[in-house]
This record gives sequence, C-alpha cells and structure tokens, in this order.
Amino acid sequence: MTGGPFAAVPYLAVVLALAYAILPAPAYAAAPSGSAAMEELSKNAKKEGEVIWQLASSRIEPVVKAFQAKYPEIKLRSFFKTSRDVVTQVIAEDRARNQVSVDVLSLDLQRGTPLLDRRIVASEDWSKLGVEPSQLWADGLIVGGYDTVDGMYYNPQLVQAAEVPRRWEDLLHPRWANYQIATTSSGSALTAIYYTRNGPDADAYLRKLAGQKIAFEQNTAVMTKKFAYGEYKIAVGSVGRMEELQAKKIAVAMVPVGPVIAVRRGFATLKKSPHPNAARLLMIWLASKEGRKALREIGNHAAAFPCDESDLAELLCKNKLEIVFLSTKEKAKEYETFGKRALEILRP
Amino acid sequence: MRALDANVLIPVRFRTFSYAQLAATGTVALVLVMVALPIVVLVFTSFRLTEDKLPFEDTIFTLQNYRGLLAAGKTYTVLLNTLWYALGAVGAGFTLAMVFSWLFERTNIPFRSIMIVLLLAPMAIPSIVKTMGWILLLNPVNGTFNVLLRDWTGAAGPGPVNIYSLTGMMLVSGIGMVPSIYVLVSHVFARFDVRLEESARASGATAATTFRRITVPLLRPALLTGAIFYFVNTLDNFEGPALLGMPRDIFVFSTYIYRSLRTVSALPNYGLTSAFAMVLLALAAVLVVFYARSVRHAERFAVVTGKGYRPSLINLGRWRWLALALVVLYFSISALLPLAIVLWASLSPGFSVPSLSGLAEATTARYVKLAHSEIFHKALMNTLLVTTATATATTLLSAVVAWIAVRQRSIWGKLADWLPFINLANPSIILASALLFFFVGIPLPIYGSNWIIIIGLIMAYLPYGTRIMGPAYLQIHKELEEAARISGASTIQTMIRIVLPLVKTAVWRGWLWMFIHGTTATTIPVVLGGIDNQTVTTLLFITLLEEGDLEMASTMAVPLVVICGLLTLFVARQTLLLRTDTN
Repeated sequence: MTGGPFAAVPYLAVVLALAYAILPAPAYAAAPSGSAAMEELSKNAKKEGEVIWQLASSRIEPVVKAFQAKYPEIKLRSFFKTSRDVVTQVIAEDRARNQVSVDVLSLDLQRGTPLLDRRIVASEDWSKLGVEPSQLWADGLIVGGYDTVDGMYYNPQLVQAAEVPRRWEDLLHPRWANYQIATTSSGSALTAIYYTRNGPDADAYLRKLAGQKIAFEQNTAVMTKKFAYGEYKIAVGSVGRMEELQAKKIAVAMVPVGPVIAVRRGFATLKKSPHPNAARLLMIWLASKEGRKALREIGNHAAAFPCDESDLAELLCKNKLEIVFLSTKEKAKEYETFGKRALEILRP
Repeated sequence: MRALDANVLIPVRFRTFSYAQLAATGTVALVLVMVALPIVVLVFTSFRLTEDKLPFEDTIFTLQNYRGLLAAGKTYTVLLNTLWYALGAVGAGFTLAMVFSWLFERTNIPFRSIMIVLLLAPMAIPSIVKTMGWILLLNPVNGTFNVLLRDWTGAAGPGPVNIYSLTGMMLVSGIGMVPSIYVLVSHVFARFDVRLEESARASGATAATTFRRITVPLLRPALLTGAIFYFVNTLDNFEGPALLGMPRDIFVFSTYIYRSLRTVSALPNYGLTSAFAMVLLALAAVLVVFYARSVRHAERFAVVTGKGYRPSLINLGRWRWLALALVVLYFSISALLPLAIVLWASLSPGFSVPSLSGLAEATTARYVKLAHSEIFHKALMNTLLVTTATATATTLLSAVVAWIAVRQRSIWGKLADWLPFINLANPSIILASALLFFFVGIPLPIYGSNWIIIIGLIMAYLPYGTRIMGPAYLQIHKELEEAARISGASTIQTMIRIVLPLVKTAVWRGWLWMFIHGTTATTIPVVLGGIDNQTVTTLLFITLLEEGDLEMASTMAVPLVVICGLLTLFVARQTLLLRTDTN
C-alpha cells in the first residue's frame, strides 16, 4: 500500500515519454493551396472516416445531419459537454496524452482563452482553404460561429409601457426593488455598465443597484424559466433565450438599454486531435454559407450587422442597441476583469 | 474431548486467518486507495494557486486559498447557514422517514406495497425538476398555493409563504431525502424483535418507558449512523439551496463552492473550491469521531440471535385508515406533485403553468423525438450498464467492508468503518476532477469509458452502501456465526449460508438505492463523460441547464422514473416488502 496509487506515477511518466517519442505525429500535413488543397483535405478526411465534435447543445443535431448528408463517408460523432468542462478535460488530456479525445470544440473567447494561452489550439491558413475572412477570429484560431448576446428583457403583461426602463438609472426606481429583476449567479450580464461610464461611476451605480435586491439565479436557463412563469418582471441575461420565449408565445420584449455584450462562439480544432483532416473539413463546412444556414435554423446566429442577418440582429438594430463584441482575447480579458469587479460589488 | 476440540478449532482458526484476514486486508487496502485518491488530490489542490491554472500545472503552493476563506466574513455566515440547513433538513427528513418506516415495517397499514413504490420511485426524478415543482407551487410572487391563499384571505402579495428562505430549503430538501433515508433505516424497523418490547411491558414498564429504555437504545446505532451520515451528506446538497437560496443570497457551502467554480473566469478556481471542501472534510472528521464513540459497543444492539427472532406487525385497528390518509397526504405533496409536474412538462407544447385547459394541447412529440434519437438510445444503454454495474459492485464491496467494520476488532475494522465515511464529505466535483486528472495519465482503457464513471460512482456511493449494510450486521449477534464456525463452516460459507440470507433485505435495498441514485447522478457522469460514455443525465443536464428546456429534460426523466419504479417493484417483491395487505 505504500505510496498508494501514486507509486506508479514515475514509471507511467517514463512510459508516456517513450510513447510520445516513438509514436508518429498526427497524420495531418499542410495541404497545397486553393481548391486542390480542399480536395486533398477532403480525401484525407474521408480516409480518417470520422470526426468527434463536442457540443454544448443537443439542439445541434439537425446541423450534424446536414453535415452527414454532405459528407456521408465521414461519420460525425458528437457528445455534449459545456465549454467550461471540456476546457479542463482537454488541458488534462493534452498534458498527459499523445492524443486528445476530441477533434472540434465549440468555443468562445471567455472560456477558450486557457486553450489559446496554452497553445493547444491548432493554427491553420484557413483562407487558403476557402474560409471567408469574416469567419475568422482570435488570430484565425477560431472559425465561424454565432453570438450569444447578454441584454435585458421584460414581461409586457407585468410591465406597463411607460414603466419600461430607458436608461440604466431607471433600474434604480423603487418599483424594481425586492427581486423584481433577475440575473444569473455570475452577474456577468450587468457587466455592460462598465462600457457606458468610467470605472468608479460604474462601481457607484452597481452599489446602488445592489441595494435594489436583485435575484441571482443559478443560470440563464433557470432564470428564463422563472421569468416565463411570471415570477420576474425584468431578466438580465441571454437575449437568445428571449427569442425562444417569443417562439413559444411567451410575453417578452427587449428593454432598450445598452450596450449589449455579444460573446462569439466558434469552432476550433486542437494540435493533438485524433482526426485532424476531418476536423478541418467540418470547421470549413460550419463556416460556409451552407453550415451557417444550418446553424441559423436552430437559432444559433450572428448578432452582427447587417440588420437583416437574423431576427436577433434585427431586434438589436430596431432598439438601436450598441453591441460590445468580445472578439479578441484582450476584450475577453477586460470583460472578465469587469465581471469580477461587478460581482464583488453586487454579491460581496 | 480437549483433543477433539483442538482438532476442530485449530483448522477453523487457520482458515479464518488465511482467507478472511487476507480478504479483509485486501478490501480495506482497496477502500483506502479509493478514499485516499480524492483526498490527496483535494489536499494538494487546496494548497495550489489556481486562479488561471489547473492544479497539476506549473503553479505555486500557497496558503492564499485558506487565507481568502478565513478572511471572508461571509464564510462564517455560510457556515452557520449550512449547519442550520443541514440540521433542519435532516430533522425533517428523518422524522418523516422514521414515521414511514414504522408504519410500513411494523404496522398493518393498508395498500402498503403501492405506497412503498410511490415513496421510492420519485428518487429517479432529477431533484432540479422536483424543486422547480415546489417553486411553481410556493414562490411568493405567483406560486399557485400563495395565489390561492391570497385570494382566500384577501391579503396583498407577495407571499404569504416564501419558499426562498432557509426554512423553505430545509423543508424541500428534507422532504426530498425521505425515500433515501427510508431505504437506509427501514430495515432496522423490519428486523426489530417486538418480543423485547413485550418483555419490558410484561415486566411492568409503561409504553413510554419501553420506548425510551428499549426501543430507542436498540435503534440508536442505526438511527444515529443515519442521522450523522445524512447530516454530512446534506452539506453537499446542491439543487435545493441553489434554486431556493441563491436567488435571495442565502448561501450554504455547496452553493458557495458553486459560486467559486462558476464565475466569469475561464477556468474554475479549483484551489479555492478545495479549501472550502477541506472545511467540510474537517466537519466530517469530527462527526466520524462522534459516530465512532456512539457505536463503541455494537454487539449490545443485536436483536437477531441464535435464539430465534420474530418480526411481527402491530395492528393499528381503525387508526390504520388515518395513517393511510396521512401517508396519502404526504405522497400528494412529495411524490405525486413532482411526478405530475414531470409528466405535464413532458407533454405540454411549450411553457405553461399546469391547468386543465392545457391538457387539450398535450403532445407526445418529444417522446417520438427521443424514440428516434440515436444519441439518447446510446445514453440510455450506457446509463443502464453504468448503474447496474455500479449498484452490483458497490453492494458487494459494501457488504464486505461493512462486515469487516462490524466484526473485526483490529485496526482494519476501524479503518473499514471510518474510511468510506470520510469520502462522503468530498464534493462530487472534486471527486470527479480527481479521477479525471488521475486516469487521464494512466495507459489503461478506463479513461473515456464507462468504467471511469462506474469507479467514480462506486467511490461516491460506498459510504451509503456501508451505512445500509453496517446496521444490518449490527443487529445479527455473533453467536450465529460462531455456531456455524464451530460446526466446521468456513468464513465464506458462513457469510453465504448464514449472514447474507439474514441481511438479504439490506443487500437488495442497498442495490436499489445505488441503482436509482446512479440513474440521476449528474456531476460525475458530466465531468467524466466523453464520446463513448455519455449517460442520460449528461443529456438531461445539458438540455436543462444549458438550454433551459425543462420540458425535454422531463421527457428524458420519464423513462428513468419508469425503469426505477419497475425495479422498485421487483426488489420489493424479492425482499418480501410486498407482504399481503391483509396482515
């Protein structure tokens, strides 16, 4: 029993090091340029025969089916895990193994930064493979994607038109005191205040808002559910949820107070992916018009202008709401700093 | 005669040493590994600076996590809240579970078999779904019950009942844990030898004296074990405090840990979380000592001896119908309501508060979708495999560990008793992360397979298994085993032919408990799940918490409830729970 399960660790380390040295590098090699590159990639992807995609939503099944229809020779296997959980898993696998267990991740810069910082994400010259420049971000490490937008919405059956807040200060009115407003436990959606005024003023505002007694729900899903049942008059969180409510004929409308925060979610592959060619092919397809259309059809779309890009974009345009895009690592980092500061004030 | 005795006894002792002692040592060593692994990871992580690192990465050792914990004024409020919450929830849960145990095991209450199945089946409903049902009923703004009360009294809202309170958390959690506690303690009532009470009464003792001097002391080890055990377990309860406490900033340790894990930061702060968990561990250690002192003389509580025992029923007479009415009232609140909410949600076309008019719009579309989903089929198969293997392996291991704990006077016995208990205080997220970090570096086909989830669940459920088996062994006097040994039976033969048949009920109930809890386990399958080992709860978790689709999540829960209900029925028959109601 001496040493317990860790007694074998030094030996395992040696075995792993040897395995790392002996085993061949991933089969992916830089492809030639242009359509020839795509053909080569497609050929190699078919040889690999499958691709493993981590999803954060089971609703994405129609997208999987659309890809399978286009590439029947490549079996698209998917599993569900939150971005936060998969990041921890992938870092652990990358540190301990020659190969990770996933090819394509659904990632945003807030959650994906640890992978980018550790240089676990694979880089690629995507433009050579025909990906539009507008679909590339985070120095080309993340491809395509859609936005989740944090904003405010209200229940028109419970809130008179004249009462609807038009400015941040309106939320300090006594009518919104005592758990009339709900947000998520991280309070991240209220971080938008830091983009409207300087730090000390934003801090002072949040202190006053904390005095209003806001309900902090476990997550957006729970908050939305309670909002839908009429428990809260105003919710501060994902606007995407608001669209879902509208689709289910729940009374809901946007509070025209901005800016809103748009967290872009895209797709990335990893240096140690088991099927590097198939992974790239899937990402290219997801960033293509066909892939974007499939994503749009399940409600995952860009908040970016032009206004007719999606219902969400139209909604934001109509309300003339400024959008803060977290499209670079620096912006994501700044948002994280603001978020921590806001939380310390709102929930000391 | 002396020579004959020696001839008989010496080989028996020799066999006892060679097999039993070896098996005991091996089993305890295995348990030690299972306990030590997450504890080592927990302690190690609690001293690591992990603000943007994982604990095994290049970071420093620090006391910062503990300093942060001690310096934060909120920590002490949280500690106090946690203690109150655990006391209240366990108090409520235990009181109800004991009443039901007594009614179902000691009396001739009518329709007992149906009631037991109804009592146990809701264990398979995810607690988040159940808690949402309570919110629909009792939230102060528009909870159905509050609205009715306001209409009736003419009072203005919100209220008058506020479920978002410490009391609300206690009651919801307490009621939620009744089936689980029932499984743990009911067999103690089932095996209770009523002749001991009758003897006391015959000797002139009053009913109260008999209850105080005979009944309570005999049940004490099992009940005390259960109470301490559930107290520790409640410290890790999450759903109730998250849904009912967090919106009003009422934190207990589990939600405080959640808050430290789910911040805007990209990586969870495992160091700080582990420091929190260390507090729970320290609390559990104190309770282990308390528990060990309370069961020092275990043999005093044996009620099944070689002199025969006879569980008998108390005739409630006309009161049986009142008892039934009370039980039905409880079921309506705790079992039928969540079941109705789950069914309603699975059949309703969209968001809607339950109503008769809404029934006309009911749809089976979600069930059809699930029936055609390959992912769900695979997840369901994984779930059945994982839960069956977990329940079987944990029950077997628990049977051995608890026997060693009860019968061995050596250090191995004490270790077998205490070690599983310690793991109880380790939050599931830490346990799952420890397994992830450990097995990812081991070149065995465990990581990414169903095995890693099975191992995780065995580690998590071993304390429950030993708590179910331990009291059952305590009630069997050693003289039965000694008689078997003197007759030449080996330890294994004694176990198989004497001990296990006597504790068969506990074995089956333990198995059922593991299976049902395995089907609803979330954290371990979610953290350790991958492409090949996703379970239904992983899908349910994503559907509910990432997509907010309570309706689809409820639809996924229905097959689990049906499977667990049928299993409960089956196990109930196996363990003679379903005695004829005409008794």
